[in-house]
Amino acid sequence: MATLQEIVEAHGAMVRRIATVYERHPDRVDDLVQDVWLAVCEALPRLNNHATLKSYIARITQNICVTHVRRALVRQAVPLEDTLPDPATAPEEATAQSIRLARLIEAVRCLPESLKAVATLYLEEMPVKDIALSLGISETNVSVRLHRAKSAIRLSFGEPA
Amino acid sequence: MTPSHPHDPFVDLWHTAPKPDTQQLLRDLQRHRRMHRRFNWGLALILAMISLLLISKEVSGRLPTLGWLSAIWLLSLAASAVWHWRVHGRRTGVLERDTVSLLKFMIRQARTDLFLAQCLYKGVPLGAAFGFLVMKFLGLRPAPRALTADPLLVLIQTSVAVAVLIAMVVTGVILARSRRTQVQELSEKLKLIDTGL
Repeated sequence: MATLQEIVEAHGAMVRRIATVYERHPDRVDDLVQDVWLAVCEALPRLNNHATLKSYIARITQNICVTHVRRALVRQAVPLEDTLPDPATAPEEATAQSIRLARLIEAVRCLPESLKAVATLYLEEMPVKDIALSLGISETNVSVRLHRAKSAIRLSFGEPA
Repeated sequence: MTPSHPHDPFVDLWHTAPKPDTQQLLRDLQRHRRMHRRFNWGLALILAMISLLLISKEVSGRLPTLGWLSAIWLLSLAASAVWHWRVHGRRTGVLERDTVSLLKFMIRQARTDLFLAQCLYKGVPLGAAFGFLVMKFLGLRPAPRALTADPLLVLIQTSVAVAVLIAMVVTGVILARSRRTQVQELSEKLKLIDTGL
């Protein structure tokens, strides 16, 4: 069985990406990530099939992110420009890719709650069936929402829906 | 960008996010666990002090309840500890469910917590007033030896009792406020996720 360190190293990036969609401020993202890992630590002994570890952690992450209310109460909007690298101060970091990534994260953040969860899990390469199981909705429902989410993301990139 | 397409440009872009510092995270997790353990010990100490206060009041005769109050308090404490342990286990297990049933569970839980919080901030002062009136009505008075007790001890006991009463009311108000918001927000989220189409 993998140690906690190995599991955190393997799936830490995924947990952080999902948390970033639900929380804007880096400090609160850290708190959220920590909450997820504390829950995962407690839940891991009950997991029988380790092949499903990724979707298991994704589900717990999604659930904690969707249900965290306390921090959302004090959440303040941060303009998109603040989340993007500043080309004037750090030109080497302000690559086109990082700007596109920030734009993608912002596009997913701005999706309605019903589409956000589906889009996030899709971007984490979870199959439609697993997304449906994870959220407790039908596969048809997932497909419809996914279509809408993709259209919205494309539009935010200035592409045709 | 189709669900089964392995090379969706947005998926590829999504995975270019920088890797987090896992070492720092692991250190934070360990620190959090230690703090959680300290918090539990602190809470146990506070509850033990309240129990001792109650027992000392009954032993010194300031409370003419013949040890019944302490017995009820200790039994309630034990029952709460068992209840908390069971709820905690259920809450952790419930995170593995799907989001819709998790939200339904959390709303039920928040409503129960809201009721308990209301009991705390409404019930505690009402209970104290009711107890005072019952003692007056039944003519219950402190035992004679309590009247001759050290005034400093009497002052400490009274101050601590009032402080505990105020703390319980304030905790109830804060808890009720947060749970009311939680019920409201979770219900909205459930509505959006369950019937969002």
